[in-house]
Amino acid sequence: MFSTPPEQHDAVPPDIFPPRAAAGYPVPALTAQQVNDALRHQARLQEITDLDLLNPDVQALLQSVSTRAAKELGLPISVVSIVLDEAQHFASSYGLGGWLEEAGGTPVEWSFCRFTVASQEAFVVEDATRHRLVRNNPLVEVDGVRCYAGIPLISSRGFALGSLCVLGTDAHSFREEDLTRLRALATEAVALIESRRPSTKGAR
Amino acid sequence: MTDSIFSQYRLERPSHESLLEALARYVGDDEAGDEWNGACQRAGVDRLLADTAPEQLMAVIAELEASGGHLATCAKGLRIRLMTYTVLARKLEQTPTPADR
Repeated sequence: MFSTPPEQHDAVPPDIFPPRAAAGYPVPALTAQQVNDALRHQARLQEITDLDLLNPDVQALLQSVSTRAAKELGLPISVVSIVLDEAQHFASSYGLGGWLEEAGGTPVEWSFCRFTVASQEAFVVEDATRHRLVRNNPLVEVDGVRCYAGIPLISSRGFALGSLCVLGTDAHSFREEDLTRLRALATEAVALIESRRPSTKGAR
Repeated sequence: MTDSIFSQYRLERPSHESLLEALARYVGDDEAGDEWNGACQRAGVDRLLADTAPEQLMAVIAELEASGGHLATCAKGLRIRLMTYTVLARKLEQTPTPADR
């Protein structure tokens, strides 16, 4: 898989048009190359390293946020995902089970959150089987993911580190108030993440 | 089993070449080779045989993670890819085929 990078993103059309999905939520207007470049941006990956976001202790820090996201939006699954260049890491989650929980993440080419991170915008999928960017994703075709809403976690230095997202196995209509609530929780998650910055830690 | 994973998930088994390629994006081609060889040595894994067993690849990845810094960040992504492959392989192995029913 790594030795043939173009295959990793075959599910992403070379140019993403039209700019709006049928349901009305924006589709990231990014090429597959732009998505790859954003995920591989060295300063972004360095920010993830500097904040030590792959440390297991992050789970306890962010667990409350992911739990509340699922419960408040009425969906079965929520994840705080840190998106790397080769994979997404589930820093904390609620409602995940099976192989996804055991693996602790997925290869990046299956990550819905990569679009959230690359665009630095909310990414909403109301029916994954009809959404151009994800309908051929194995998480949809094999594991039955049907809906998704993700908000980017953008650090104080402007880097999109990952996403706070909710998922479900049925098609779902997201209301604006759902996204407003998810944004508020994402803001809370970023504040917790920023508390890990070395200078902040030293000041405590 | 590889065929099952590939047909359902389109996921190839990570190899040391594919991991080296990912590592090279962080540290460059030359240093990637040096880091990989060093990690193999510390893990007690023959770098030429690292593809024969996922646990050997995982041992090398663990050494890279222990290095800290950006090597650990790179290695975490590689660990998740290899874990995904390993977990799915086990899952599909436990799923009865039509011939088993």
